[in-house]
Amino acid sequence: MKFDIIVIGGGHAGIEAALASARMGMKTMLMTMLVEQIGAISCNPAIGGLAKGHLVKEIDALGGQMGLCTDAAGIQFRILNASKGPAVRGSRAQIDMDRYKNYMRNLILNTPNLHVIQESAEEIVVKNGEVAAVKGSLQNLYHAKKVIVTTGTFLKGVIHIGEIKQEAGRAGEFPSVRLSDSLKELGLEMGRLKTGTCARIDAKSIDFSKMEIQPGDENPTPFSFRTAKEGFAPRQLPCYITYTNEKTHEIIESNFSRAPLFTGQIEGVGPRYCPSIEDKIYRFRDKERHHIFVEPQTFEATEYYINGMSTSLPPDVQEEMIRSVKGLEKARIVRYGYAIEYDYVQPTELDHTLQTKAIKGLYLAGQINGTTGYEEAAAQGLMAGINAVLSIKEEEPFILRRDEAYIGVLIDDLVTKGTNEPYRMFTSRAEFRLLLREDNADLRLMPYGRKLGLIDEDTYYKMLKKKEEIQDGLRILQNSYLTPTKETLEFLESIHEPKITDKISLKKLVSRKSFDMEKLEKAAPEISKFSREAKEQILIEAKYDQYISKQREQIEKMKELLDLKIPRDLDIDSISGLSNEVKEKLKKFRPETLFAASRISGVTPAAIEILHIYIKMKERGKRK
Amino acid sequence: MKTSDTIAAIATAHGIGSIAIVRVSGSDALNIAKTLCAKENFEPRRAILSDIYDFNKELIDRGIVIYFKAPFSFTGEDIVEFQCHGGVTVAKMVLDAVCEAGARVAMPGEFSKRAFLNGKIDLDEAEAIAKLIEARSEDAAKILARHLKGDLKKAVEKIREDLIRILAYAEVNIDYAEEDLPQDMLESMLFQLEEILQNLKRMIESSKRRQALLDGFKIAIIGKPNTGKSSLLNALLSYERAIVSDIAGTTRDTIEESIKIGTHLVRIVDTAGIRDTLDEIEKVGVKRSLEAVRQSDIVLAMFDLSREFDKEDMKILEILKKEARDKEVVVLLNKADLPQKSKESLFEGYITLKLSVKQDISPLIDKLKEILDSFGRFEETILINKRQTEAAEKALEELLASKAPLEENELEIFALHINEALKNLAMITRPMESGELLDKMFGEFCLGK
Repeated sequence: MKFDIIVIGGGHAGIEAALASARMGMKTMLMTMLVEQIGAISCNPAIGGLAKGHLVKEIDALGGQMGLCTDAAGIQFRILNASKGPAVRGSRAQIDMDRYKNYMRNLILNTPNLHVIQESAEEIVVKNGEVAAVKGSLQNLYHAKKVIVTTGTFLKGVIHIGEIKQEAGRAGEFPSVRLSDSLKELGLEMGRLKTGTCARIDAKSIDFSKMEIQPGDENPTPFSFRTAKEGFAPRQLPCYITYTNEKTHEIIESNFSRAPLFTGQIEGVGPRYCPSIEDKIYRFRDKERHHIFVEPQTFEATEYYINGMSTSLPPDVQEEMIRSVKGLEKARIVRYGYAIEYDYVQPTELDHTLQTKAIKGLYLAGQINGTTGYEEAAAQGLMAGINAVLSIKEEEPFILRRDEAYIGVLIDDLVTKGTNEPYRMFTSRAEFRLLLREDNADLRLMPYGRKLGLIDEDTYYKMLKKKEEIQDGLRILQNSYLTPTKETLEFLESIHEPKITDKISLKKLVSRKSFDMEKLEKAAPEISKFSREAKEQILIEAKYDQYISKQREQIEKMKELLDLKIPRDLDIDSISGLSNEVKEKLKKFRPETLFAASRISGVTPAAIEILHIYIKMKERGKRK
Repeated sequence: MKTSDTIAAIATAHGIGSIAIVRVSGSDALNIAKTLCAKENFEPRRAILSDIYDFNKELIDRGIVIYFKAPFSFTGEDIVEFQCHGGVTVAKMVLDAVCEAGARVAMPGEFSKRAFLNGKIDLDEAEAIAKLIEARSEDAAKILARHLKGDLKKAVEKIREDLIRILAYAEVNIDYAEEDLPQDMLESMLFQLEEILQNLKRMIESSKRRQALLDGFKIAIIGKPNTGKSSLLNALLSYERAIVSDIAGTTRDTIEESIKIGTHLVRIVDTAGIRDTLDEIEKVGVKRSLEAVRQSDIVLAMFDLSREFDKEDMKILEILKKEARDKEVVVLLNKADLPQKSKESLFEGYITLKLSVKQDISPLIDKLKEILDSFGRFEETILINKRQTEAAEKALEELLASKAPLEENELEIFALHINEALKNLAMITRPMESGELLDKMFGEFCLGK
């Protein structure tokens, strides 16, 4: 059988990769070990959060599926940091994990050009340095022009629960052993990471009356720009909050000797960002209590996820520790928490399209690249899928810069710096944070989505209309001036705003923190007829105006460095003036541009100057 | 690459006391010249005699000013050269004025690099420029390291560390808003910011004070009484008859003299001219020597070969061991012409010179020249100082601007300013790695579910 693109794995990365590929017209196959588990929610039943919400909105603006599915499967919607600046607000939704999975599986099976096969991939067949086929566990040979590997935690996965070790890709599922060997044989640098999850509790055994209740937002907002806001009123379920206590900590501490994390049984590096409970107790002995969020896994709410209690302690300890918590005194565990170790590929093996540098046509996306999180995985899957298609079509690759999207930051960080611990997104990783907001992801990225053929015409024109209104509105504000006349001062008093003493533009006035939508409408009646979304953008842009223009200057500098491509055949060793340390780093990371080189730690500004000169020398030499 | 910003440097100084050139290159060069010279127009390639004013319209110097119009200049950009009298000190004042008018201090080799990028320099010479950048950068790093020692280094490192911490606090508040965070974090950050501000201000002031004293490298002469310190000082002072000034030292116990060695201006921190008080001779002497060593870049330790090595000599050796580790030390074994009673082996591990100060100090002068040359050019030192204070002052501006957003709980804007401050400080210390921020975030707070 012959395909254009084969996607190995049906998780969040695999889904986006396969959908993008099929929707862009490629004959696509998704290989999965278990069709039931396409779109499985392996860990917490939630999508989004800070920085992750940004990723979901960006995936959505590019025509990905995660946002739409979340809107369909959501059982609680909240905007985090609602009281803080718009750049650092993040959307989060609790989801019904069954509904999420069913939605995705059905969508995949209903998508034209997309064929699903239940067979474990065992070997990547390479010919002349280029991908040729995938060999499955049933000895089928599937030919393809491009292969995208999205295996999550399955590569040589080993589960730990106390002293018990099991080979598994996820609880109850086979690991993928042969494929890992195949990747290693292709010469890719690989390492081992660890992650973990908490126990799930039978809802009947929880006393919610002893816990704090945490409801969703009163007016829930959908994730997707394509979900209608009017009439978006999903039935929402609350989450609950409880706390660990001294007794919990005692139980855990007295069982450190049985914790695989401390006994040396686990060798992989775990994520600092979501540590297990035993790790929290170990590192922060003084902290009196730790938060636990009790979250429904499905709309039927038969099982609850106890977020904050990820663990690989032995079953009896898990039980004892959970029962020490208020409201969980009679808790019955349905599924035990566990840690999982798995192989990953050092992402410096990839270029910015997520294609391996060593093997043409082989792309990697998701947890296999050392990341953690559904959203990080989905973003990579989408980008790998798009780029594999573009490569077949012999079109320019689709690379997002750091000033364009969190997705750009994510991929740039991974491929230029690599990672030795599971990588998750933070808003602080984005140096152009004020520009990269959730609320303008559509404005930033939908033109790309449209061009790629992943965003439909109606959606695109809706965005364009909004964009026009925003531009018009900002122009009006910029060109309207207020002088401290009697009328102006009276007007300002009527809207409870401090006086002005000099002539200022309306834009400047609107940038005051105290300015809200109502005041905006009064101050600039011409724009009150604009859509609410447009007016929101006008307010935000005016507020951040001075910082945004400063960031634009920095972007220009960055672009200059990005334009300076380091020729692949530049002989680093022959460059006099570079220290050996810098030479080693450049040879190891093989940066594609001067910008990428400047981000490698230990590469000094002087080294960048020298490299710059050598790049120019090579260019001029060629011209001669 | 676009090189639109305007750079400045002291280009040449033909020794001390003669002419020094401040060269300015970039799109603002002509405007800066107009401001500083209070002139409407400059004809290209024509040397004119002009008064040069600082930014407060005070006269600095009367010198030659030449304007080279782009692209007919060394860098291919607009260039203005100010040729000043009165040597490096005046050049430094012109440089200050130029920077206040909108230029920034050039990075090592930056003029040549611009010349190359603008096609003004052949391919064949490009390699030499790369080498020049490397050499100058290394020099700069060395000079910076020498300035940034002791208390100043500690102060800079502390400010850097504190900035990363306060940034971590902000980021934790942003990215982990859901967590059970301490209630008083904002107040704590305001308090921390105030402290950092004070420390940075203090650092800038003290480095400015230091800069005023830093008209040359410092040499300390130490040794017990009667080893020949006075004779050495006299010999040095009369060596090239080039005493620039006699300035009483900052403390009652030392006197500083400026002399010229080779092309270098150096200051001698001298403990010889002070009369020992009757009581506690030893104690006062040790204290004074310690002080002198701490202030200096080069230490001349004198011992009298014709006398027995005694307790006092031992003290001097101890001082060297403890206080002079990061300095150049020359051990002078004086009175080599007399019968020897001390053993030279006592001074193993040091550069030793055996001579008689009264007869000939030229071996010492040669040695000092060698050491001073290794320190790098004096103009380079001034530039580095200037870059350093520029960076610190910009960092201070950012910190001052960060206060209002912090009070308003606009953490994303606060963080922007702190990041900028850290970028500026990186010119003095080193850039922040994203790992450092994460280390602080997850080291100080228990985060994540």
